[in-house]
Amino acid sequence: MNDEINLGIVGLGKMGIAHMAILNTFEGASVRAVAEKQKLITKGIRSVLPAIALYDRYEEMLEKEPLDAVYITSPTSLHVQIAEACLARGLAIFVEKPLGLSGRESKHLVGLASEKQAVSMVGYCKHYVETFARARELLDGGALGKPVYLTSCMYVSQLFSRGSGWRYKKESSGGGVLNILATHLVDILVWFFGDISSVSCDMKSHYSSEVEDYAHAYFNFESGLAGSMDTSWSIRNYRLPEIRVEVQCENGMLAVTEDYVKYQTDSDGTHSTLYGQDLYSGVPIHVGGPEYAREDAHFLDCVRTRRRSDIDVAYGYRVQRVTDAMYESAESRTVVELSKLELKP
Amino acid sequence: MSSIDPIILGHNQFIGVSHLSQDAARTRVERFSDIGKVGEVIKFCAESGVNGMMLSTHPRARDILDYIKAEGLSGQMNMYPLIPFAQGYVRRMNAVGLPGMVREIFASAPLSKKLTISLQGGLGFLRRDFTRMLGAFIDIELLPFKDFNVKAVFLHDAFVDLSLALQAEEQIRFFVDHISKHYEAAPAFETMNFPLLVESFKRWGLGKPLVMATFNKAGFQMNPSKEACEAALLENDVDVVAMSTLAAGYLEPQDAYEYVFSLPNIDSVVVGVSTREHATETFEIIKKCRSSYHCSNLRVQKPLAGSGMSQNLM
Repeated sequence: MNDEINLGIVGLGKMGIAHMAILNTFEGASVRAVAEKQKLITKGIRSVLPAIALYDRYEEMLEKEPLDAVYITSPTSLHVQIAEACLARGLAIFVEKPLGLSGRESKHLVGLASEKQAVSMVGYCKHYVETFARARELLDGGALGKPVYLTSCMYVSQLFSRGSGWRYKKESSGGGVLNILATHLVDILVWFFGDISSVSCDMKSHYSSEVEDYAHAYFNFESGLAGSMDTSWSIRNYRLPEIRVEVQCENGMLAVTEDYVKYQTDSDGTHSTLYGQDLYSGVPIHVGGPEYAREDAHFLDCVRTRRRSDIDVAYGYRVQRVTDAMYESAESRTVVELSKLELKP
Repeated sequence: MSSIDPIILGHNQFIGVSHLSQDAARTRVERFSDIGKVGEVIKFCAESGVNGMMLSTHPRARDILDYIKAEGLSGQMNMYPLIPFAQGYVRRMNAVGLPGMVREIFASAPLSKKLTISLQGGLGFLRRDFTRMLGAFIDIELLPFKDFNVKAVFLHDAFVDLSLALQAEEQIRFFVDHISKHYEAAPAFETMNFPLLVESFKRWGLGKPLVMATFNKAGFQMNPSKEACEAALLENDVDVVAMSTLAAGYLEPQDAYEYVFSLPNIDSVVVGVSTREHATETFEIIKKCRSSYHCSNLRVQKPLAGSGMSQNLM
């Protein structure tokens, strides 16, 4: 690879545009080409960045452009086929979350990425939000003891009438609020507490005809931790997507949101709160939130040094198996053990 | 020559925004669900000599503007629209997709604006001309402010920072030209990347910008760093309205404003107050800290008539 990383982007929705803008400011990387079908968007891009090559079809972009890495920010239903085409060419990939429509669909990407020794990353950007990163450090630090029981939720006020677009069609989204939004929360739970062994889940649709608007699950983790998550995009008074995780540990407790991390240790009875303000560190470019610049810097660093990211396709698949199990449980109305998930049709 | 108000009442508290905690934001939504409570704060601010108000085009904005008009306060108030209402558009884009959202925006325009769009070749034509579409978009966003004194129109950081990152000089220049040509108000910019904005404007030869940027003692949301933002302020000729001065309620006002007014080129702050007591204390501290430093009045780039916006708002 030359010193300059040549990048392509497939899909210019809001995340594709945000990544393109951030990447445009980084030295040592250059967005050379974009594949996007919407004319309104490509006209805008052409007027802003005339040097970027625009394609209707990603296949043509991959064929013609000498790329090192590709951002896959298309609707979820296209993630796996685009990732497959990139990995087959040995290109590094950044895939927006979730990895695919289901773990069954995306599983083979894990083997392909490994076989091609390709760098990969899935867009679980909460790893780069300071409060969540500090919470993980505190839990790993051991002072709170072993996690025993957790409650968690993710809500946003988004849908109070019938939605339209790919997010609300099962075929293109793979699911509703769980697959599109709360995959961030599932990621945080797996990142903080490790793999989940069994899931019991129920779901409800009200505004959407094909996908779930509400989901509630109870998890057992391999570590012995147990607890719940609740999610919806149809809860009032949540202007922004909001995550909260509270965990009771053997020697204390911890609660974390994007705004703060609070924790309490039984030994000295102290309560501590760290706000986002306490933990903030500036980013070279702020577009949509500081976490995206950090995430992109990490990916480019992995590409440059050929280092494996902790949030690679293998990790994305681990998260996706949990959401698969949640859908399976809601449909079958049974407790689903993840070790047996692949055996089911 | 008219100047920007030294204290501008912010709107976050009225529309349920808190960068300290979402719990606090929800409490504010409940508190200000009664427009009378919003009115009490606005009236008290006006009585205290704080006549400037920042307002996004959040759905609540129309209620607030109607209230100000009904109470006969519009003549004495200076409005600073912040456009567009970015979070609302992100939500609508998620709900109905980008083409659906563009259709909705233009469907929301009044008949007179629709007629103008139609005479220009319709929505289809605008879609083929990206820049003209931006112009129509800005005009629709500013319609609710047509009977008010508008001193400056701020472009929201979501769009400013995207434009800066993409180095979209033509789009920024278009905003400057469009506001300067069609409205008796100064074009202004909200950003989370202050040094990059200043550097870009200098390179593009756009003159002295009026910028709303984050400045607080904690360095919260100051990018790429507190030091770089302070240096850009010191080394450049720029007019700044400081925002997030309390780091979203994290800092004590005395400490916070001593820091803000010790910086060069800052003579105006946007502040969110929720109660009479809170407002009294905050305004007193600001006035005291401000007078302790030799700050000249902040000047905008052109004379302001202060007599309402031009005919293009019709």
